[in-house]
Amino acid sequence: MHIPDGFLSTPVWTSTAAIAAVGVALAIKKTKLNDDASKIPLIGVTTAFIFAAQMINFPVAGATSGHLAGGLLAAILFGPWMATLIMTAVIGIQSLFFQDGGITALGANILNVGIIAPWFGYFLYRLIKNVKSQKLKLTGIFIAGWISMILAAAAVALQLYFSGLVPLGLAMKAMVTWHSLIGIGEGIITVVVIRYLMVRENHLIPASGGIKHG
Amino acid sequence: MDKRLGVFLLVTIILAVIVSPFASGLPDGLERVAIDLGVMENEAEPLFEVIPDYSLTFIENEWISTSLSGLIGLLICLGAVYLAWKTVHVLKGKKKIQSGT
Repeated sequence: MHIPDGFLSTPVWTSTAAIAAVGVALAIKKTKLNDDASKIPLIGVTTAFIFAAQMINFPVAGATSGHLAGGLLAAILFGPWMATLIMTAVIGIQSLFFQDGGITALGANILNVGIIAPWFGYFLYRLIKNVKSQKLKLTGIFIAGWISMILAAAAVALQLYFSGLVPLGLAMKAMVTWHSLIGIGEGIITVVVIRYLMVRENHLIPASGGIKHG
Repeated sequence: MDKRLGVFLLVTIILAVIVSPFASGLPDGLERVAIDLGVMENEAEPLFEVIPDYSLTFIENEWISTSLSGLIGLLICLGAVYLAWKTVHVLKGKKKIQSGT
């Protein structure tokens, strides 16, 4: 759901850019990349994986298509601050090099996919993080991923409305409906990857969840 | 290298290089909504183009073009993380020298 150039009004793209800039600046301050030198290879591969997965659109209901956003995945692996940085890198690269997502919409796209989705998803994940049952935990991750996608879609609908582009009710209903289908993919892929990286063995990622993050 | 990290990287490369040409061309969720609400024509032309829509304009074969775009994207991602880490490393090193620790 990368917003292209031309959809957002100047007040909306400038204010979302300002919010995103503050978020990213805080994330840079909070993550101590240097302290986690051993995690750098995994952070690199995760960033590349999210980029690759975002290229793979799967068809939905014959009318639309969706792909992994990846914010919750990154947040579970490295904490939400690092997730914001990883998503900012992916969204920035897509916009600058591949014209996927507008330059003026960069801030809004980072806010929706790089801040709102991973942070709200991570908050939901925290609620079930320590449950003993592996099944329950993975179900929780699925739901958190699903909701993270819907919330990002709702944020896009709001921004399009504030830009004077679309009526709020119609846009909200359409964005939330389609992304509640696409979000199923988000939930499934997040569960599969987390299950592989976290559950099968426990030395790559501590079972307590994530690396040290401030 | 940890085995799972290797597998993760391999899956990533397979997705970007081999699977990407098979990706659905249907409009994504936002495009679907924009089309249905009749605002798709508001989309502005990009200010500049590097590898627009994951296709290298000088390669005729669409599959190869998408595959290579995917590979280039992966390299940029890995390079960006490495550069960010190096930058932090250098900045931290300087700070330590200045504070005399």
